[in-house]
Amino acid sequence: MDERQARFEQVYHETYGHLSAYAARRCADPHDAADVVAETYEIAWRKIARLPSGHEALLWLYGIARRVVAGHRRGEARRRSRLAELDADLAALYADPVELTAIHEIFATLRADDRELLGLIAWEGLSHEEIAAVLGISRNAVRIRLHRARRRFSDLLDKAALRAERSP
Amino acid sequence: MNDTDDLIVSLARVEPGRPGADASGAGARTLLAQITARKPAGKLRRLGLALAGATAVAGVALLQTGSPSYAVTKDADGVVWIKIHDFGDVSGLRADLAGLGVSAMVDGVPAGHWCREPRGETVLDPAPGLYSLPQDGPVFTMRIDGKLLKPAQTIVFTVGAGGSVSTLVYRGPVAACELVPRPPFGGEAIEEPFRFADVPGIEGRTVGEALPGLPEEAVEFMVIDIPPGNPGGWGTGPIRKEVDHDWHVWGAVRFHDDPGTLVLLVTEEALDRNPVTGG
Repeated sequence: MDERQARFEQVYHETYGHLSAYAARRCADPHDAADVVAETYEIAWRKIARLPSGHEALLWLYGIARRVVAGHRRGEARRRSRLAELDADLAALYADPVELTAIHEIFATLRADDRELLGLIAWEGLSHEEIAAVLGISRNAVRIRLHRARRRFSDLLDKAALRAERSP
Repeated sequence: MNDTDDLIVSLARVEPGRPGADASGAGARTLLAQITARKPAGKLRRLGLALAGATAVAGVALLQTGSPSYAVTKDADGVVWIKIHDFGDVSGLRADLAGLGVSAMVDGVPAGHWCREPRGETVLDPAPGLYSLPQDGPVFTMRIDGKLLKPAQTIVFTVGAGGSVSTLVYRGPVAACELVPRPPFGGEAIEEPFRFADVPGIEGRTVGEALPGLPEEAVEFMVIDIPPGNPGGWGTGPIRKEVDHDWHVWGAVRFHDDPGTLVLLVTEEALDRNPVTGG
């Protein structure tokens, strides 16, 4: 095995859990999530020369996955041969159905940019600095965009009077 | 985290902090095997004209006034920079470059004239990254990586008053420029349909960072092709009306037929150095 493959496999093992969770949190369908995981790692393999090491690798992969998800949303997904084992792996994450709530619906009406930013904070638990690395923007831009995204979400919630119900 | 974030946490299919699928599971192993069964490197992309060895023509503004002046410098890593303020007297340039270990010539050519070609045996596949084309600006700057110029090779820049630069690499002796009134190679000189625009402060920035500082109303994007390993040089690509704000800007051009539109040269990926300027 050459050095590149060893490096790739190490990153793959370290990041697969995070990346499959990332995909499952953003795709309504496990097949789509499987596609996102597969396509992201395929792209990473093609671009192995640019693969960073350590924690940065995960951020870099999130950056790729984000574009793959966006491409899927635009209907640009290419047909791929299905890997039954991979589909099964991802489908397991969908075993407990998420109860669809009004909050889901409201969240879904946000712009994709806003959803991604809020998701990276709340779901992946990334810091502003890490998000800056994923999105390729400055930390300051993250701060500003995050503030706006939270405000837009908050406004929508207020409009739907949902927050009142959840207040203690 | 704030209260809206808490609500969002509750939406997650895979609880935050918990991993998704198992990296040692059957799915993960099958995918890994399928991916690594292929070679990682993508196909070799078409290089920019600057690297293709044919006549590369790029826009450049020349300051035609002032006393003859140029400067050549050599970096510690063997890269030679040539700065030319005007072409009044560049007769000493070749000798100065030779003193730095680089066989190169620069000829200024009056409007409506070209050098008769071939002036020697042209090299069709010069090393990628050997040189960078100059950018628009008051000083005409060229970059030659001396380490990549093979023995007996000479790199020749021909600068036209109309704002074009042709770059050719020759093997063996190179004849002096004999002026002729029509383009070389049977008139098949490849002329780029654009010229470089000097826009300070955009290189290396993201599109989102660069756009607010641009005075232009009309901005478009050319997605440029970068050879594997980003050795320097680029290929032209499709023009887009918009790209994501996290894409990266490496330079700007204006097309002759649409000078009012600034076209940013962009890549989706961040690069370790600027492929357009070589810097």
